[in-house]
Amino acid sequence: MTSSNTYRLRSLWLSLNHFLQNYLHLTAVIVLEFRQWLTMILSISVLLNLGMVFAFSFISGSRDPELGRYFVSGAAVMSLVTLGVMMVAQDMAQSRRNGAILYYASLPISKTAFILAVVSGNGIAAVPGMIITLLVGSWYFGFTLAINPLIFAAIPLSAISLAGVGAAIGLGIPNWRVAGLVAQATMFFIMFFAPVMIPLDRLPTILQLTGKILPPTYAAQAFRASLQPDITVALLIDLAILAVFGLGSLAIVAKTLKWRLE
Amino acid sequence: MNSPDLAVKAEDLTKVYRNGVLANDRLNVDVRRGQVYGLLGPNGAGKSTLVQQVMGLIRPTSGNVWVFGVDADRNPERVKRMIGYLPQTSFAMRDLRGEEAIYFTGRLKGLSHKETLRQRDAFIEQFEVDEIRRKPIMQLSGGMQRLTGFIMALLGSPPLLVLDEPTNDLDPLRRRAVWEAIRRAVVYDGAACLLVTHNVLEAERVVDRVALIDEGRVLGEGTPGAMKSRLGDTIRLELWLRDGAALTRAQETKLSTLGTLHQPRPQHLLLRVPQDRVGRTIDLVLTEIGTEAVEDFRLATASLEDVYVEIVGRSLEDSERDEVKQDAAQDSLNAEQIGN
Repeated sequence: MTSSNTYRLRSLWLSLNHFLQNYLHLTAVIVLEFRQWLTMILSISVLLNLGMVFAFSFISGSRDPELGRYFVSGAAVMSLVTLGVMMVAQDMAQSRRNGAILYYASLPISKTAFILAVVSGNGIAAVPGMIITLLVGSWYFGFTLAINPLIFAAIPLSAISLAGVGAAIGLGIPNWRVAGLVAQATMFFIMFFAPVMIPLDRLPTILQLTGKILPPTYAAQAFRASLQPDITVALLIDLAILAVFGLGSLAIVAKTLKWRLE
Repeated sequence: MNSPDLAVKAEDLTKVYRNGVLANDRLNVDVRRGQVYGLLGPNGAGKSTLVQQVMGLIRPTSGNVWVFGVDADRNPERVKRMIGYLPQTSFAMRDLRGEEAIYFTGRLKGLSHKETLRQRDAFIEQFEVDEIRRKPIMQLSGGMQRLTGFIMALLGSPPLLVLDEPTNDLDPLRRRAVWEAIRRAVVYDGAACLLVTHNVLEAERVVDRVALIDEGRVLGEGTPGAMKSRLGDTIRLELWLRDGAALTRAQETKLSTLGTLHQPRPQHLLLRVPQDRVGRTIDLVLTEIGTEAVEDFRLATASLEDVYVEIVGRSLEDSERDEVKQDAAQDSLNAEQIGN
């Protein structure tokens, strides 16, 4: 191996190491920022999720375990939506407004590591709410929980692709109040007009079509499938689509977020 | 072009924001190692824009800025590694305990775990701020938050410190500790410090050179001594009137004939007079205005504030009142723009 190759490999390793260190430390910062509010965030997200589960059960007038599995897994995905879309959008819009992003931009850190850390931190915060929703929901509807190992791919991929939506709202909309409003409207849309809580065949054709191009549909499908013991081709396809959505949205966000004022 | 001890060189630096506001107008500034360089001026004068251009956070519309010979616009990442920055206000990591925020800043600056802990503990002990170990930053007093940010800037002994109002909200003892720490970094470690302030009295004591900035332009630059010598041998009389008391037009005219009169507030007057008229001035104050109207008065040699008044044509306090609204509008514009 020539010395220039060794040099290239070494500098590649140093950049990768720098990126990983940045990512881990920034994720720790985001998670620790949640710590103070953890009880509140957890209680509200669990109440919201279970509220959705019970409300949909009352509306359908059924405690059928299969339908229950649909509602419960949908509500668990809504945890990721709440934190991934709502919190990321609000976080980004607020940090821009109060200058927190300016502080991070003044440090010698990777911008992509920062975005990934915001996404991961919010994703991690959603996990306890998801678990509680699954446990209480399975007890209420009387179905048994089976966890497929691919759930460990489904959750982060869903979180990244959903957070991409949140970050796009938080960074793309100049005013923080409007950004907050749009994030809430998006959540409302996902809850009622995407196949997350409502089965795809119950939605009007236009919404079935829009569902096909939006990440929450695939996040819900993948999450649902990973609550079954078998690894199916459909699940793998959903995960692949989520990976494309996730990487695509990260790339767009990394390009949109400028470490500069203009 | 750049000598090794030149920490910051700004050359004809100009910034016009997208909304048409001219923030910097052909600024030229040289900051050397071993120097505390003060940027003095009212809010909205263009100090923060200059600082952010030095950090590579704002692209100049024209002109250049180098940090230790590195072009800040082309290589912001390299420049950021050389700078310890204390923003005027920061909302980053506010839910973390002070010691955690310091730790993670150290790690993000590239320090090792062990070195970060060593420096963090040493600074906490040096500034006697043990309470920042346990409390989240947002629960700390303004002064403690400022000190936490200051420690974050000092971590890693950067060769350039960029400090925006480092002593705001601090008590006198801690102010002194901060100035001593800056002096130590500059004198013993050979760092340079770019200091943004509108506290003229303090600036006068700590800066080696100062630039008076107003409306995006450097109106005067030099050592405090050289700047003050522009005023010749003048003496400043500061006069406070009792509540409800006011000068008559005749008294005002008489004072104005003796020197340059400014009235930053209704009850507060500043008069700069040549040394040979000091006796007459005091006579006038005591006999014509009288102790029943005068709350207090003080005589002092000319200060940087007087230089500021002489050059800018109004006092720093007046400038701030005039421009505070404009500045708030610009601040919110800046904050909204980053990340967009």
